[in-house]
Amino acid sequence: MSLYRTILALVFISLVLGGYLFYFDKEYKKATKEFESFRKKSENYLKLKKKWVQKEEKDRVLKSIKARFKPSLYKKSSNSLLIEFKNLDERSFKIVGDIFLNSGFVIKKFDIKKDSKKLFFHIEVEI
Amino acid sequence: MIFFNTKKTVFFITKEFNKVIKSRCDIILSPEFYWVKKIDLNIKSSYQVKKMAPSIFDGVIPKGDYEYRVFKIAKNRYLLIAFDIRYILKQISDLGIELKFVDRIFTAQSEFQGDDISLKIDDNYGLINVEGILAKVPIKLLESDAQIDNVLIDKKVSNNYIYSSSLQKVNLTHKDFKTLLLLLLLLNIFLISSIVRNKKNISLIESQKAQFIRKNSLPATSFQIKSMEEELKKREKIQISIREAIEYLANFKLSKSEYFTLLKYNDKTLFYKILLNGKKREKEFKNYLLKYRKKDIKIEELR
Repeated sequence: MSLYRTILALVFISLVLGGYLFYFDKEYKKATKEFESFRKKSENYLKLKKKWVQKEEKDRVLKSIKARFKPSLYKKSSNSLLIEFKNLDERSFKIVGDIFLNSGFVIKKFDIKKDSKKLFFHIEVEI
Repeated sequence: MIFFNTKKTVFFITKEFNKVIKSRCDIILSPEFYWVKKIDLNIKSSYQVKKMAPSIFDGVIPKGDYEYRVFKIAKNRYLLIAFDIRYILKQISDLGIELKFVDRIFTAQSEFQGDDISLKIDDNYGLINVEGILAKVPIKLLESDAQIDNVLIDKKVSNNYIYSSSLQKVNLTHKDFKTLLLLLLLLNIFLISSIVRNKKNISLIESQKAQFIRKNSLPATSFQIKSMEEELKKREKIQISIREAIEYLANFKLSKSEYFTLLKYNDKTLFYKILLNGKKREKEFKNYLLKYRKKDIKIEELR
């Protein structure tokens, strides 16, 4: 009856393995579900982060402003940037103002003064 | 205290057996129902010897559908039993025993092996152990008057049965057992490979998650992400409000000579200075500002 005993042993092993498979299948489904949920939750955060924090993009824009409009003050600290233009004409002001106001720069404060035809623009943004 | 009497009656069956059996019982077969061979082989396992059993008995016993049992009795010494279970069941039926009452069938060889016995079976024959092999012999060769029926009252049978009615009920042949064995092996292989695959998939998902976290510089838990997201949402709300306040001011239609001389944002307040043509226009502007409903950012004139 050794064949019979072998079959019984195999049935027992099958049951144990079946139990393990059930457990790991459950774990796999749980891990997949958790990862999907984590990714979904992260997506909203990443969108906001991309809009308001993305440093590389902002650095590129600031570099271009600095080169084109020659600010009278350009002072970086650890988390903010002070930038000041003393004699901007209307057209340049429109461009600079548009860059700061219609993009993801986090404005801390700004100051715009018009004197005759020239504009003074002082802005502090988070970087 | 005994709650259940589980002991079954055990009968010793010879070809001359003539008792009537009307309850479930176990049967021990007299040596005349099977063949026994003692053999010396330089082989370590009974399993290997069992594989060789058909060739060992070949030509020695009549043709039949034999099954084999092997008992290791000493180092490299084996005792082999060959039996044809269909032939045995037919013989038992021919003796008038109904098979529905037979639970298990054993051989005398497996049940009295190693016992130095000399037992009377009936008035003509007895059972003795001749150098390890159980033999049915004429009564005059017996050395004692002990009856086998008396011995069977207290006899505890082994697990070495050659037939079990519980196995027969499922009606499986040896070939069916082998097929079942193969199927179970395949099932186990499938289960093992599925477990391995699932384990691999779990680690793959974990590594994907770790990679995703690393790539996007994220904290490890959803809770932390949620709190950072809330922080960014607050920031976004204020920034959008600043831009809406500026837009609101800019939407006031100015005539050619009118303009803002100052626009200043500090601490959630947007200050302005405006040059307008006359009191009427100033009133219009003030009325326009009164319609500004957003609470996050205040709009105030700087004096």
